[in-house]
Amino acid sequence: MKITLPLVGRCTGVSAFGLTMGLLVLLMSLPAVARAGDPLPETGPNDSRVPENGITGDPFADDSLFSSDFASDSAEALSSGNRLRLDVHGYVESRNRLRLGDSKLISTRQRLWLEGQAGFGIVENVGAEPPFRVFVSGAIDIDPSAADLSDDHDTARIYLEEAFLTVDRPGWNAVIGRKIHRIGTGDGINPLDLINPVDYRDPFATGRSDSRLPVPMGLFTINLPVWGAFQEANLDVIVVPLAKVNRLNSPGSAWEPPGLQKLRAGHDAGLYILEDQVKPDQVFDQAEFEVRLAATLSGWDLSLIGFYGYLDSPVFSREYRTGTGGMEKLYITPIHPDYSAFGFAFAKGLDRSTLRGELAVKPDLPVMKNDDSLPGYTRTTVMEGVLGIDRTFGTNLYVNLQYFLIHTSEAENLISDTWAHGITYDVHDTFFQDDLEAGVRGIVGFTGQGLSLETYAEYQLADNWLFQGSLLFFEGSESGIYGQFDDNDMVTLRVRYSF
Amino acid sequence: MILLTAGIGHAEPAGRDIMLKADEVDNSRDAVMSSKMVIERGSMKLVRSMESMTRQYGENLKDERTLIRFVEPADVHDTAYLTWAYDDPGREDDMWLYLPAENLVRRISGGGKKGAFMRSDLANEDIEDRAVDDDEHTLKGEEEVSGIACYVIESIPRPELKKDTNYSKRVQYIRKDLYLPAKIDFYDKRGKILKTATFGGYKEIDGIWTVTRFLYETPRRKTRTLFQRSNISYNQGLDDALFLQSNLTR
Repeated sequence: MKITLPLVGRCTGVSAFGLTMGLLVLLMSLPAVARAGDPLPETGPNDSRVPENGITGDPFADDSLFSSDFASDSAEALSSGNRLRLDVHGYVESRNRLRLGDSKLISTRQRLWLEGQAGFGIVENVGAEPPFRVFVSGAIDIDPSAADLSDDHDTARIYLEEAFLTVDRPGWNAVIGRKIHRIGTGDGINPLDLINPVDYRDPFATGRSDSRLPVPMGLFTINLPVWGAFQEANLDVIVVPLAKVNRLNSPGSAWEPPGLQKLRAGHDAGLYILEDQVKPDQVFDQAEFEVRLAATLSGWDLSLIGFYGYLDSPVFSREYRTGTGGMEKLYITPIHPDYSAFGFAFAKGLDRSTLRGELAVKPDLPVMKNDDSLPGYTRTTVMEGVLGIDRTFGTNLYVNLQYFLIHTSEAENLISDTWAHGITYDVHDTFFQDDLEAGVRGIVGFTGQGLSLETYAEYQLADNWLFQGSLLFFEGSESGIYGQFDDNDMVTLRVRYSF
Repeated sequence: MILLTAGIGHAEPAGRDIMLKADEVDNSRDAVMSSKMVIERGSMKLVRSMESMTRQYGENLKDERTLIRFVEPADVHDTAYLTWAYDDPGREDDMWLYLPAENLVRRISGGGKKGAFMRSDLANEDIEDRAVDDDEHTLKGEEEVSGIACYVIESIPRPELKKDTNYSKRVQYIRKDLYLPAKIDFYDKRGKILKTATFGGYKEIDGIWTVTRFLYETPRRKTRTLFQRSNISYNQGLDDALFLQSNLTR
């Protein structure tokens, strides 16, 4: 860990390439922590030893084998009583992304990530966590390459990620603070995971999953009484005092969609006025709510979910306003109207497989029109469903497939088709005593959305080092949700040291 | 009682009777412990530590709920694993995994049983509570291990369970004095020895004799895993709420 601070200090002000190479050289020049394949020590358990416990025939009685590596752990962690517990962890990481089309580095992110938690209070039951817990995470990111592209990134940024207090009492708990809370059982596409906005700086965590940003929220969970075949039941209530939505990428960003680029070009050409994004800004008046009633019933995880909030991805309202000289001018404004969603999710283990599904109904969902009529969008009913299964073949070959289907009512004049569908997938295996994982994952749309495909390999060296490489491809038309990033095919190299 | 009944008509107890008696040694209603693994691969050492809690359920206390929370290594800190295991072989176990980095509690299946547990010499199936009748047990004789007399039991998976295990058979050396294992030889699907587990650190804790240390060796891979349990306590009256999905998250 002590290498991290001088490293971050040295990073400031150097070029992206030098920064990256410097970090890699420094990491690789550290003393090798291990050499697999060396002969094992000549200790063995074959002899009977003097018994400490009055029992003969104990091959480990003399402690010679279980010595310094097994210094006594504190019993405090699992005991009852008044307790204060502190943990700090983190990692230092170099993650670098090269866009293949123009051989441009679109990110050379060097990160120091820290997270800590503290628990305190009287632990009434053995094994329980302290009743009051605080978790805080944050990072220092230095990303000169991304900062060169757009205003979405600063060259260096220090920020708080999650910070929340958990109050854990018998029968209920409450979490208050800044948090990511994901909802749903599906993989890659979760129609009811509507609280946290997508991270506009890094929207794709992998070829199959997105990255989200934490929001201030209160999460209240009540353990409900169970009977009969019910094994567990909970009621979750989430309140977000001020809805947070996806921020539009700045001009030049690698993730600025072509459609937005064209809108901005039209604005620059004087065809219309493209106004700033109008995000919810009225605390409590523009709050979001989600309620989840979840139960485990004879091996099935079932949940009913209701949501009220604000559209994360904006629609663009169109309006003519009379300007100076009586001239009418078209104004286009990215806005985030409110809407509701209802649905259910389930998961079920089946031998070597897990079945997962979600169904969401979004009545009166704002959807863009495909013509120039006012106000640019309308409301209609959208139903979204996902059904997936995963299975482990052999020892570690993992296969995950999920089908998704979206139905949009009265879609004749909308940008959405009546039916849209596709699959998400993840196939990976492990090699070299599980030190290496390699696989392919992504999303394929069958109705014009395009596709994402990521091949990746990650190698774990000892306990702390992770080396990862991946190739991420996007294909499809620029109107497709994945095809729009067709120019962003990229290679990613990542080195991480966890502590 | 089972052993006595079996002993009436036979000079030696049957393999299943011995395994039933071995299964009865831990008759606790619940258990709490810390565990540490050191995986040796040549001069490289991987260190894993975890805290676990177990509680028995059902009419005969044969159903089991277990919560494991990983402490080390750093990249899996706070990852938690909850299982509800049922003695009824026809009922699927329920399993969930909490991944703190993804803020997600996720139901998983038993498909990974054959995979390595945390990159160690133990397979996931080695750490689960295996029901006595998941195998057919045959007493093959008696043998001394570390100077102590042991029953030698050959345990072969029931035909319908063979696809879910790495092993064609396990040869278990059960101490005659404690009915705890002294050694287990694991054989692969081709009938060749795959790895060996040696047990020790026997301690009587809260009136229950317990294995606190064991060593798994895989000669083919030139690796071995040392496993130590500490801070063990039994029958603490663990709360049901500890074994709920809602208890998995931070």
